[in-house]
Amino acid sequence: MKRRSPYYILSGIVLLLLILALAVREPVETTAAQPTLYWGSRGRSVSLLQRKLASWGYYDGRVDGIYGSDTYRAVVEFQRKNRLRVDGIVGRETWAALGYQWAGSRQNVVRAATTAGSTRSNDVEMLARLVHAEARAEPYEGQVAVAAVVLNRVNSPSFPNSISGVIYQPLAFESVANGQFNLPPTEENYRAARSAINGWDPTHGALYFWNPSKPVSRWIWSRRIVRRIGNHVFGI
Amino acid sequence: MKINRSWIIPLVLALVLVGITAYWGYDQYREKEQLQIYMGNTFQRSFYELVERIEEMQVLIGKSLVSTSPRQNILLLTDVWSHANTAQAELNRLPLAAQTVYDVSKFLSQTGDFAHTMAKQNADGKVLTAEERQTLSELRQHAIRITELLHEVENEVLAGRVNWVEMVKSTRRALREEQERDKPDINLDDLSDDLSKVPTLIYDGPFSDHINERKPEGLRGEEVSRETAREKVRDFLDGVDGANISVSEGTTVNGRIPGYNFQVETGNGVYSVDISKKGGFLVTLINNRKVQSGRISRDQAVKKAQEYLERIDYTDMEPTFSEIKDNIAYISFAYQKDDIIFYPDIINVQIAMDNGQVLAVEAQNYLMSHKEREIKEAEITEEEARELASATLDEIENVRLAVIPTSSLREVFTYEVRGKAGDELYIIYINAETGNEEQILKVILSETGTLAL
Repeated sequence: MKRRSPYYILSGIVLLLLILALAVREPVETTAAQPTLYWGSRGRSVSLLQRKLASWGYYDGRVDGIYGSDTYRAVVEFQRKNRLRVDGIVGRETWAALGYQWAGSRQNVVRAATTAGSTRSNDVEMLARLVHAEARAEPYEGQVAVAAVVLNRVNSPSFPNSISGVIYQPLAFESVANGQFNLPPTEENYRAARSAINGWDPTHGALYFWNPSKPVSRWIWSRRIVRRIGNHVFGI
Repeated sequence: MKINRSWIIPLVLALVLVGITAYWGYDQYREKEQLQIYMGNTFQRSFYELVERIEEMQVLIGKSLVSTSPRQNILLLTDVWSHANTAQAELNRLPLAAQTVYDVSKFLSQTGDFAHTMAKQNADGKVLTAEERQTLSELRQHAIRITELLHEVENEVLAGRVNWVEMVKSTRRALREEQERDKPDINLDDLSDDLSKVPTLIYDGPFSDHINERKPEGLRGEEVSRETAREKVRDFLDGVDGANISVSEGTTVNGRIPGYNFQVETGNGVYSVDISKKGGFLVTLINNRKVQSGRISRDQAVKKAQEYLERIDYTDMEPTFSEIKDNIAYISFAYQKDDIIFYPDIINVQIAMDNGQVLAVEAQNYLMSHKEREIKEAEITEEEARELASATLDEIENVRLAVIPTSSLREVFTYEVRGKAGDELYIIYINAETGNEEQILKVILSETGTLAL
């Protein structure tokens, strides 16, 4: 028995490593860096959450910075009362309802409107993401142009009639298909999106853009070319 | 015996490893399989929805053609519009290449839009003309043809010859390998041929063909050469040291407003400047400079923008809207003459809030629509307009004359009535000739500016 034990220990270690390796292979949560809180979260933001919930009478446990069952119950209760999605996860909406900003969102993203109205902040956000994904290496004007193409499509009968419809149209944008679209945009991308929404269109009504040095469908070259900006050709 | 035993354990270990890997692989495979089925189902649902909606649409158009009651006709045509919209949205959820769905999408948008316009005409008491009925009937024939073709596709899908998920993969593969696919995604090619016979549709709606065929009305004067345009570039710059700039040779812009584009390097950002061939007007100007701080006030920014527009000969422009975001003021101007404001003639300006520099100008709307207009006397008085609006508004703040563009870019002469309903701010546009309500905007005030929806 004694002679065998090193093997068992060894095999145990190997197994453990294998399981670890498999665990690492799981896709990395893109929200990991953001202080979205859920069961098991620890730290100062949890304490903050607990204090806030306690002061509003949802939580009566200890403020210990550990998201456990008591905190969970309080969060769920809070979400139900405030008509948020009841999932026990403290994300953007729940943080907003608590009066804080979700660090996962950017500073200048317009917060959900507090009055009965719409800020249209979704539009800017989606456009900025697409600009970042498709044209982050392009000159500023080329970024405005990409956002303008999306808006031109929305107004065209041949394309979906909403910004989300255009952006998420299957096979329309490679960056949406491969997940680049989910990366956070920069200040410049937001400004480009905002300019396009406010009417700027350096493409003069273009519905397509493509990079001639990359493989594109031959059909695209049958479009009338308006102009070239940076690495992109814009066509109607 | 003891020697034998020593390799049993590594063997067992190896088997365990193989087992775990196999299990993991199978698990991954199963998960992928499930996701593919899920995706396939989503696509298939969209497809069925598409077929159903087009069939429904076709039937409704048929009914509207035999209906004799305007009231019934309005309901039927509004339903056509709603089904066409859904069909268009579902079609665009399918994994088909842009060129495949381009024509069908357009057909669905236009048919719905046309039906909607006809419904509105009915509501205004105008009966469909023989010509309009003919158009509806033609559109219906195309819808029937599309349904037939879609049923063929449906059979392919049911027989397992068309797989939506495979289609996504092969299209992306084809794109990567820079080739056309041997076979089109699905047999929609006949459809495109068929739809090319759809007549050009000109009617009073946003998807009417006249929108894309518009020609600029605001360009006056002689055609200018690229050299002349290049000399004018400096006139359009603001807040830059004249000695320290370099203007590119210029390229041709082949858009609605034919022109030249110049790239200008300055000590205060890189400009892109579009100048029209006809008349040498400033079309679009964009500066990429970052603005880090805000020192000037909103009023100063608006004043600065207005002075700039006057300097470059865009005169009589009145500020209508402003918003400040990230140290940039977005200000909208509309043309004003004889106390009438013309909303089709819009010029947008961006001002840097650190030094008041004009960062961007967009005058395409103005150049497309600005012209000498003959305005008739208003048929109804301001008092009457007030009266009409006060039925729903609790408090009226301001009334003035305005020309507004409809969704089909037709111009309507109206009274603009601003007022409050409860706490909410609304702008109601009342036709100055008929007294009809033309448009309602909801105004949202925030710290950054006003938003009209």
